[in-house]
Amino acid sequence: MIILVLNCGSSSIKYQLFNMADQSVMAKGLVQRIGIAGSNIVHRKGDDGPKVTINTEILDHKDGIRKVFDLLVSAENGVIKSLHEIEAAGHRIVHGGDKFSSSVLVTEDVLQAIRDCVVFAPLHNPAHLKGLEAVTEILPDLKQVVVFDTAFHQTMKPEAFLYGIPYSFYEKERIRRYGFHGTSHRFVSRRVAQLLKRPLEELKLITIHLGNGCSICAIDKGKSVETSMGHTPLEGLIMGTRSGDIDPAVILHIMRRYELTPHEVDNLLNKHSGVLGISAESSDLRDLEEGWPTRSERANLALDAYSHRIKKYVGAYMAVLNGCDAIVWTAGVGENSPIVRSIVCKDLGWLGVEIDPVLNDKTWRGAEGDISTPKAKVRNFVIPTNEELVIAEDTLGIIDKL
Amino acid sequence: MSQKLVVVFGVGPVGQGLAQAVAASGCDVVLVDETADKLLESMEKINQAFDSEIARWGLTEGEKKAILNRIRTSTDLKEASKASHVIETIPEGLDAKRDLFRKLDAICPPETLFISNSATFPVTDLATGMKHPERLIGMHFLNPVRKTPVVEVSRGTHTSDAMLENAKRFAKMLEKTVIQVYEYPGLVTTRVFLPMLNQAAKVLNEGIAGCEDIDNAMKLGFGLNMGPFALADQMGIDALLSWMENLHHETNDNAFLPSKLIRKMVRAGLNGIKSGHGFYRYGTDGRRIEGSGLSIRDLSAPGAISKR
Repeated sequence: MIILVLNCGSSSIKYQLFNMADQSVMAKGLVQRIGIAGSNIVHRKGDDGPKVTINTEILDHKDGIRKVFDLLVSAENGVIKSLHEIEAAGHRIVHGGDKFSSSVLVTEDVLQAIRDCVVFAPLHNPAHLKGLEAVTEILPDLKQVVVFDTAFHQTMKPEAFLYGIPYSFYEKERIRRYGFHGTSHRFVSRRVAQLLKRPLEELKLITIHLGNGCSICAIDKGKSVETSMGHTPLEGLIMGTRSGDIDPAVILHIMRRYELTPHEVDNLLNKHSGVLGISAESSDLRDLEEGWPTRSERANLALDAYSHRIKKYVGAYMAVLNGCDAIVWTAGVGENSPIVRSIVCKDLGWLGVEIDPVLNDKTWRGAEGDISTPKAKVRNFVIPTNEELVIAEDTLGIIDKL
Repeated sequence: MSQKLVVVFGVGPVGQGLAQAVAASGCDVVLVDETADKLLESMEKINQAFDSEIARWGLTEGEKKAILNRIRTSTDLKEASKASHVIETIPEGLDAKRDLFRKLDAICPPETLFISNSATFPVTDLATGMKHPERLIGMHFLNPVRKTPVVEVSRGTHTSDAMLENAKRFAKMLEKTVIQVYEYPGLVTTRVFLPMLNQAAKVLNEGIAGCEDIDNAMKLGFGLNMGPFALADQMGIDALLSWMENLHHETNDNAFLPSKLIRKMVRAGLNGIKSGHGFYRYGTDGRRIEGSGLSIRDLSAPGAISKR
């Protein structure tokens, strides 16, 4: 069974072709600069085959997807003989609002619901729709499934997802907390249950996704009960360039004081803040960790603030869950930063968290495993995430039942 | 449909602003002017404009680099032959504009959209002598282009529906609200603003109120972002004077008869932000100097201006 996974952005398309018999990656790549001069496709066979760059004119998403299909069956770079070998396509969709609590087969109603959610993700959802429409036009009979970043968190209760503002904003505008990275939190929660050899249904978990965006999720019996990102991916943890939680009055004050436009303040909070804003050096944790702890006072401060915010949420989520069996670290920073993990877990002994410095230091670069000391009540795991595989699995699961 | 490549003729504030806006939307752009020096100078100004956006957190260094990578300059008119959109922003002058469009008409495939930024010359006039007049449309962008979210679109007698739709898509790409207007000198914005500025200049000249006070009264009283003088400095007093003269000539309406003060200012070289001095004075970074509002004595005291 062969499944194509697509992640369509406004001028790019990421793709991965999976052979679900063994969950191996047959080919993957990235279409860049769609509709812009200098467009190209960077393609590779298998998960880590040599990169091939194909410079070609790509007029729109449809053209881009057609060229990906051509590549997949081409004599030189292809991995399949005919497009009919592809059983289905799975699309990543950023925002499903409160209309989707799981992945679904694409129908006209589903497309309309995704269109209705454009207001929540004005940059992402329109691009996803272009990708969906393009695949439909090129291969009308191919089954398509959509997998939402928000779906996993639809199990949150109103007390967790409501903001403390007039209720009419929720009723009229659906302004509430939605949460993101759902595919990743779901993946690592299932995986940690396997590693613990216990059913997910009896576990209380805290999963920490630290990538470009960062979010943390409290998972009870396999269900998301609380997560740090809100109506948009700006809320919660301090991120590379995003502020995370901030007193809204500060924003109003800055807007008035500097006469900022909404666009400027949006950029300020999304692109000039976070560890970049605090350190004034870099948005990349790897840079700030180089030479730690003697690099610079501000780099340390950024790392400490970043880690402190995570620690605060870990404590809060232990209260929300009334306990915790395991904490999971995932995504770029979560998988690769023993420094952040050690700062967060320092002095958490009272809560049953204690990590082994040796295990912590050696578990990175794709390694998976338990990094806790033997006596720790709460286990700490590092688990590399794989959102594309989840999309492929969901797609397979849905078309299998048809 | 082809890939978008936008060629902008003219390196005034609007030409520069369009190059920034188009490149920021993800599209490649070529800025064309007659001399390499002017192009160099305009790229320097574009660079500064992005730096001041960064200083206000509106842009990141990385984004600036990516946007600048999409802007090229050239002195060769033939650059337009590969363009999907050509925009004319050269100085006001009917003959020069007509001449440019005729030359472009001969080298561009018929599907290339021609856009004139002129607010004073009707599209139909500009299209005289073109083989494909259906492709010419008026799109009046306001300075500063990056920040002003509106464009006045005017079609000429010959402009085709397809080209109008194309122009609307282009406006959408640049995130501008389209105001469709009938072709007539001054369109909406220029026509309504000029009499206001004229009256404000008269009020100042008659000593009824000071420069800052007039601006503040209009700004706070009517909820405007800027008062008429601050806005005029941004638009360029010399350009405003020539628009007033054009519109006065065209409409015979004395509301457009330039006030004495405005004529005096242009004679003295007080052309606004670009010359460092207009109704206000500006530092080298283009920021207004506090308390520098023009007083009428400035223009009567001999040598008062050149000393600054």
